Amino acid sequence: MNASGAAQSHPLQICRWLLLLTLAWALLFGGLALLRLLSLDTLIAAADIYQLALGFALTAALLASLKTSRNRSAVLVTSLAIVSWTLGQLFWFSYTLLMKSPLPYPSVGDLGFTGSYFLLIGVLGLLKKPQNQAKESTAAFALLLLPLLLAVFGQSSPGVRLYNFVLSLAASFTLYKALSLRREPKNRWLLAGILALAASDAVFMTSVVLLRASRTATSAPLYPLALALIAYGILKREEKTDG
Amino acid sequence: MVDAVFWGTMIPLVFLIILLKGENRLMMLFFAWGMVAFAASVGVNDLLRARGAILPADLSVTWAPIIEEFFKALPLLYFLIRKQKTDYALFSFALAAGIGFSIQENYTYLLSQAAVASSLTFYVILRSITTCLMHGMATGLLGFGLTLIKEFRVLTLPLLFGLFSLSVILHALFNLYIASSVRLIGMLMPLMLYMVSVLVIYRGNILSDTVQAEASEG
Repeated sequence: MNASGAAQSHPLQICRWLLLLTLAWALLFGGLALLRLLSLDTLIAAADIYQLALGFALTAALLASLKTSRNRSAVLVTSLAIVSWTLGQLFWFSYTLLMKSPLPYPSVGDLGFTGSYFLLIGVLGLLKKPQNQAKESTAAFALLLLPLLLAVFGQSSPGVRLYNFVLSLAASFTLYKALSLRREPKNRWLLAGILALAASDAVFMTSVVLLRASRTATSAPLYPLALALIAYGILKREEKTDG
Repeated sequence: MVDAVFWGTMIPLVFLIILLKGENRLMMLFFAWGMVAFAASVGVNDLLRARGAILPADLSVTWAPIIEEFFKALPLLYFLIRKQKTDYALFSFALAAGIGFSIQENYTYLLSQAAVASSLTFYVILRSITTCLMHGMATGLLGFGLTLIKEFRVLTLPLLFGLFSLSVILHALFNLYIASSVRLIGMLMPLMLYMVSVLVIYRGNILSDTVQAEASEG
């Protein structure tokens, strides 16, 4: 039962548990990385497996909720956004495992990550516009400063610079659309997820250019949190609409 | 030989298309386009190979999925300007283009394997329930996205690009698995995707229920 006394749906409960589990995983990951109890390679491999398992679990939970959902298209496209990100990760993971060589950055796999933003823009378009909607905030485009600063202060190939810019542009535009939902309490979890995804990508881009030794370790615990927040957020807003 | 098979299929199809009417004709046009898209993709892929821009082994997990998905999906843009609704789901038109593509690709592989494979029937059946489905489903995803765009008038380009990315990544993953030691995962992938899509789109009756729910909310 939630605060308003209505019973929570099973998929929502599953997403809530997955969110809590992911939070615990992120703290554990941070602790193990700081205390150096495990090698970075082992930690990254464990994080990859967790990300994949979580991505598919969240997608399954969202698809299961379609049966009773009131806004099926938005929930379905959210599941596609999460699966797009997860397939990007799966491509990365499978390529390095099967080809026994690192996947170049950027690659086809990165289309999955960028694509998830575009699908989220689609989700935001499918949501019913709130009456007290805030204005879209151009402050979101401040994120575009990051690839510019990284290009000036870091050393990277033109391909990396271009892709960093494309990823930042996709994240900025998604934030630009998402920030208009900030006044409605029912949208806050979803907004938090989108903000966390953009922040994770900012950390990732910075790590690729400036902290090469840490590779994906800096952003590894952040992405699952963002995905879990997005999945929980889209179902939570529906529950609040019902209430 | 591949050219001969292409024309040998396309010319009779054109006669059929002329006789058909309405959406049946449109459906067959999408199917025929799939075959043209295959020829165009082979041309561009060969060009990339010939210029040495990319190693042949890398092509299937780099540019080939992008090029092939682009050509297959191209005629779907027609639905952005068409105002009337269609009786067939847009997903089906997209699927037709993907299946047309994959049948032409089947012929190519069949001809190249004729001297090598012991059982061509088994080989081609296997390809038909794996690669053909994958091509169909990857393009079908875009068709589904177009339905959402037309139904809810959401921002066209971001959603289209998101679904295009998804179809490319599915295609690239399939190519990666099918050429590796975990071939079985690649073979099962399209079938699973097909079953999930059928459950979600048709049994779930996504669009009509959403419209009703939103109408009652408003």
